Amino acid sequence: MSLLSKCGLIFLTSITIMGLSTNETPLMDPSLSARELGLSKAAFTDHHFNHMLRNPATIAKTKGIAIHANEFLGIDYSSITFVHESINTSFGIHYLGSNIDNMKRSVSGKDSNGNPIIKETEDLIPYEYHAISIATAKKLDPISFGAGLRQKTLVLDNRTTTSIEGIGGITIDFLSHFTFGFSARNIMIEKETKNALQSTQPIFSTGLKFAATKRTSLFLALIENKNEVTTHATFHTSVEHYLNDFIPIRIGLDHNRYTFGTGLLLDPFEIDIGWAQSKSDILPDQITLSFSYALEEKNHLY
Amino acid sequence: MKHLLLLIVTSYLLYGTAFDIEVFKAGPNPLVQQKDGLIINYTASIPHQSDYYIYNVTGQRLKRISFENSSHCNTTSAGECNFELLNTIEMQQLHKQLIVIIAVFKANNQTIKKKRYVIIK
Repeated sequence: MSLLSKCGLIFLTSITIMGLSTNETPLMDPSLSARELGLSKAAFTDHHFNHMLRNPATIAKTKGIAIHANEFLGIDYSSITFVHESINTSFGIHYLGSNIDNMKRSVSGKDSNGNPIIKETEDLIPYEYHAISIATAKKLDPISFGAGLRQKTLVLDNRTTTSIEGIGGITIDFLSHFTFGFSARNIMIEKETKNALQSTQPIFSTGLKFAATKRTSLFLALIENKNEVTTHATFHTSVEHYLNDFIPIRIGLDHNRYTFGTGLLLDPFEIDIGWAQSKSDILPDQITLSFSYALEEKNHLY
Repeated sequence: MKHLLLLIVTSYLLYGTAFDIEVFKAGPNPLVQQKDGLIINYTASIPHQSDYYIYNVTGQRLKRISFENSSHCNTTSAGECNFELLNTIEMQQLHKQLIVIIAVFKANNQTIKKKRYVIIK
């Protein structure tokens, strides 16, 4: 490890305490892949097709297909990512879907004492959430840039709301070990309403990747997300280390909680699992599972 | 001493009431803003303490309401607890979305959690 690598390692691991500022659990983002969750949302400077929604520039010169699954508060989410390259330009599409199919319709009334009561019926209420995203990216060494659009649809019984947002990002490689990245997402183009899944404030992310060795990378990021924390940007840092050719270990600090991830890389096939701690006794931890196929071997560990 | 212990255990089994919450409901579902309040119905076997947490689907806590005892319950002799947790005006403060209501009941060192979804539209 060079002197520069050692200095970078010490710098990146010595400022983690800055992230510990609130007791609230960071909000669950169902579109996060297992790798992104395990790396505490700080890895959007790393070129990987699974990072399309965090920074579309990262899909440049990548291709692959992945499916992701997670569950939170009893609601299942599934998503699929497909990225391909043509004419030196990468194109990506991502779909995320969720629904609840056993929620009973109920009406209110009064009992004989005048107390409020609920009468359930056998009808089920539709609840669905769909988000489809497209993105494109190009790499002109050392700069990559990308942009995309995201449409979200929320079905609440007989009420459907749609929002369209823009995403854009850039990455710059420098000093052979470092990559700087910036992304802006959730840029509202069209909105009908505001809710947890159709948030309205833009999210700005600035990050740095430091490739200490072929097997070890460190990430740090500042994310300004006023949908979640209105007062300040949050700090995220993580490290990914390959124990051998097959098994990566990921540990991170996601603002105020710990994240962890691991996987099995059988290049170009990869299985990943990501875990993020809950800061509440009531809320569960967040766990995401991803299966990725990179369409071609990368051999990035050699 | 052995007989005394046996007597205590037997009398607990015969006369002690286990803590249980049955038929937990939250609604109406869908809940129409400016028209409905959030109503809670359930049946409890004994007096208890309760905490209600209302989250959106991303885990953001929107409300927390605690009751130290069952006095808010309008309890009938059958142990039914029927009350309005949030009124129409309080429900207007929430966005139109799916909310998750998690109720935590405590009595006799026992904790029971219940979860229900309600659509606000």
